Amino acid sequence: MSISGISEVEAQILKILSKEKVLDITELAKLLGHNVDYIRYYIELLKNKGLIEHKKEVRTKYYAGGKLKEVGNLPEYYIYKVIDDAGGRVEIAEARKRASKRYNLSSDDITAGIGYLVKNGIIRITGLDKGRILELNRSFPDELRNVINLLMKKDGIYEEDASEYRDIITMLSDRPGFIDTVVEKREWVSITQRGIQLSKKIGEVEEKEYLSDLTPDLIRTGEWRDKVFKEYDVSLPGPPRFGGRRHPMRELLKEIREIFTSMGFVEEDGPLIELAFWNFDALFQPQDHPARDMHDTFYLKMPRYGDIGKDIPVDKVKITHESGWETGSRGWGYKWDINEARKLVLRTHTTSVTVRMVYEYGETPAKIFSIGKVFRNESIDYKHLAELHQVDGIVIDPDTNLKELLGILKTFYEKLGFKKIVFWPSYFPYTEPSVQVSVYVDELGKYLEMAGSGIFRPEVTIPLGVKWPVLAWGIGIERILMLRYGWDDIRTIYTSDIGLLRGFKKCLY
Amino acid sequence: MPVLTLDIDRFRKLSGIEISVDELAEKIPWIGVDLEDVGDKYVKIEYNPNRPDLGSPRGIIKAFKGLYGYETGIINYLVKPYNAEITVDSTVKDIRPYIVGGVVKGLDMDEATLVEIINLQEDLHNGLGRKRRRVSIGIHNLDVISFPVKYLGVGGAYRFVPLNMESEMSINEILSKHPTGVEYKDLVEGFKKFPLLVDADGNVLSFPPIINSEYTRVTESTKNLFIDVTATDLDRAIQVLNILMTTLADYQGKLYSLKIIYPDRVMETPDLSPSIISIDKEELISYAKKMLGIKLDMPSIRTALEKARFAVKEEGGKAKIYIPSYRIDILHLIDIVEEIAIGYGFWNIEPSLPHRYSVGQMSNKSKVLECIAELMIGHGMTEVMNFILTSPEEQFDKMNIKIDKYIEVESPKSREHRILRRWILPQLLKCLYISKKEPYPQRLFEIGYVFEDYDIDSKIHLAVVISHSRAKYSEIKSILDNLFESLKVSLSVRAIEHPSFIRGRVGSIFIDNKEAGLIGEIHPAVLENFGLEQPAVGFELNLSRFIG
Repeated sequence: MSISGISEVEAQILKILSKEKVLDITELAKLLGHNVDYIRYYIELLKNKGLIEHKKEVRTKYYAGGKLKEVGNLPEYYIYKVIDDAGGRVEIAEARKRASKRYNLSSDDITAGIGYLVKNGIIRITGLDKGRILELNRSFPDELRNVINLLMKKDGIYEEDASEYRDIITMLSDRPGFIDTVVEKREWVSITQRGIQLSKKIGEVEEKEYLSDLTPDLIRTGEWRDKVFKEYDVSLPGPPRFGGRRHPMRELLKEIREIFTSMGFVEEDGPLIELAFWNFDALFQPQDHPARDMHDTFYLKMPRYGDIGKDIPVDKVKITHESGWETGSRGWGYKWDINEARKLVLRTHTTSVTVRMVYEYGETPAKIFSIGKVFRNESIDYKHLAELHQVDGIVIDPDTNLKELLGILKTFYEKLGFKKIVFWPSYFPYTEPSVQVSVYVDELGKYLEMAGSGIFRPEVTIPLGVKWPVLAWGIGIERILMLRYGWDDIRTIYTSDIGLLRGFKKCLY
Repeated sequence: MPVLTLDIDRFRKLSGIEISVDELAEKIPWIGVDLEDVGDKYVKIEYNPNRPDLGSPRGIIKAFKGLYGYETGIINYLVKPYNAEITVDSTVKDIRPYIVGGVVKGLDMDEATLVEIINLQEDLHNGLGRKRRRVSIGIHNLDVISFPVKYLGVGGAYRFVPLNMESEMSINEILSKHPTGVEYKDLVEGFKKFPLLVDADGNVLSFPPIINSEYTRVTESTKNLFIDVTATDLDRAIQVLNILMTTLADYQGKLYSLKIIYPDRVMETPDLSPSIISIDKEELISYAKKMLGIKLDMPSIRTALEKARFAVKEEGGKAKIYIPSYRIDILHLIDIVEEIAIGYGFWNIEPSLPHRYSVGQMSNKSKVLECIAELMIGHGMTEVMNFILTSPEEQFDKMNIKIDKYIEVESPKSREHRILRRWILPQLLKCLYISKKEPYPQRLFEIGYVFEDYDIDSKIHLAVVISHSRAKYSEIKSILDNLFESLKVSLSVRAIEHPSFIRGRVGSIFIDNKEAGLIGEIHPAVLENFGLEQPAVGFELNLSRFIG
């Protein structure tokens, strides 16, 4: 089929109509092998293209009623016949008797029939009282004869074809069983001149059969060569389909991994349930520091304490806290308690992993990052979650410095698509100098705090065996994701609503 | 972190600098405070807990003027002896052993100043004072006090008129009825004697760390103050006193010291003389260069430190660095280096990439997990991420199982987040519930950490669930089979009974004869518990075998 703009079904309709010219829509549907509702759409298309015409009509049709069919004619006819047979004149009672007996008419019908004949002057009544006689007055009217002939036809008679007999039909309608009235709704389609011309073109490829599916059989046998494929409406949407997808957070984590590995960093991993020692003490965070409070940090109920391990330089950390040890520091000047350090917490930052790496790598040049979940004892609202993702990084190197720290962080955020990155002095208990990293967000018209960073304090690294500078940073990841998707409620990230997960923008460009 | 609102008019008045809100907002972060908010007439900042000296507009202005060169170098705070005493009774030794104090006269007092001083006092209480437990401050009207003042322990029946009250209350009454008493009563719980400050005429000045007396109330017209600082830690008390006294001097107060007479010693406070670090000049220069990556000569270092309101004196090859008495955050030479960086201007520090070449590497675990996730995506599964913290109700009750060994956290703020999950499937069922209105089939997976029994070492699980009107065991089994086929590991599934699944349609997954998970059709009772109306099938698998 190669006539542009004409679908397979449309072509078939034109083909049929070019032969039939006019067809009832149900008839057409039958010929096409579809139901009427299915073809309406195509009829509408063809009509709009001016190829066919579509007419709707409502018609009333009359058929002979059950009683009329039973007795075969009008009572008027039989009564007339009885009188006529009797020589044109007969006593009423006798006429009724004969009509009833010969033609099986009921008393009511006989009364109605006599009434009609008298009223229209076809017969007349003479004589008085009991001796009344029916007498023919004129011949039996043609119109009554015709109506009956029409009604007795199998197909009945349309109202408009019986307009001259309207009075008779109205009269008969009042007699139960004589007329059945049916209201017909019909739709007609007919082909236009343009339709006929076009259907000729369709005829040219007519000898080929239409195919809906290409089957392996057709390919194997080569039969497809004689076939034409049914055309589809290629603009129609397909049924909805949802492919598998990564979680948007997982995609961002992957991207961050790629950025750090591309910058020469090695990924390391550490425990989620962490000793307070690595989460706080090794980071020179004094034991009465507010961040260690149960209001901010999740401590485990059971088991409550963990084992720091024999080889870990606990004593050096202790003396450093108390008086600075050999780090050159004054220390915090309090009594350090090992039991506080043995407590188990859900890590509050991934710095617990990188500080472990300071100890494990020692004075070996290294660039390390660690990415994962951290926990805060927060009430959950649009700004806060109890579980978040962070990426921490460190650079252990005898010759590294603050400028390199800024260089790494600037590159990182630039790779994520931020253009204006600013470094302000800040404070963290375990870094000095400490640097806050903020990025300018055009949509908000202001800087947003994105990361904390600095150089690990000597009080952190020296007890763990590293006198070299160690660059360190911690980056919150949820905020990056929220900026990326324009979400202003942090809970959106973890709603697990499949609708959202199926619908977020992919392959950001 | 404590927040401070800088009213622009007030800032201009106190500093004498004509500056706009925008300019202030642009410049202020470089002194080391966080910009919190910018309004039409104000700039709101957060200052870091290591710098309580920035807790008043005066403190901020001091740092701001230094960094931007309006006024540099160290301030010499003059302290004259007041020739008066605080005597410390031995009865406070076991309850709140330390007290220091000082006198300020001729303050430039007005309403704004009073508010700023009280805010600073509150921030010191909450921060360095650890909510008054370690340190608390009393600020009194000097003019009504007769010295010597006595610091002693008294019984709970002792009566005086506390601040904001009209009549006398006993200490016991204060702790049970006075709002401030009730708020802080924990700090003196179990005490047999309570700390009290009384003047020579027997007037009570304060009941530290709870409340002052009404008698010494400070108002907008009070020009002369007596300050007491009581503590469980003498160093901390001195730090707090120094910050407060220097700030009050910035408000034009004249400072006087008091003698503190302990049973075993005598001291004079405040001592606001700077502490001094003496260091070889070359060592300082090279240390700064090493840490910052910037070569600064001695004059530049000196200028930078003066902008940070320090002083430097050079004596031959040595540099003596004078640290203001209100700077409690200088523990190590590295802190001096940071001051150099701040004074030099962070904006002048040029970022540079690491000089050393290195090869990056993703962890093996990450690689394997990425690969498994990719296989699941290939099966048309949507990845979800749930919290590790959850509730036993969702983990066990709704799954029709009884388990009492799990890791619980202390004092969680939310009941829905109080234990560490043992498995992920319940959360996937919850995801199905949340997504009930979305088109089916729904296919979900998650790879994440779980904790078994009381084991503090996490395990990584893969959980998968499929839900639609014709979800069947065979569909989920196909995915499990394909996963193992892809990983080239042999799998066996043995029939078991498990209350979360339909009987006869649940199996235990074995790898190398070790149990590694569950697979089956979710029990309709469980579906009901989660409010689900479509059948669901799923598996949960421990991935230890694949990530080592």
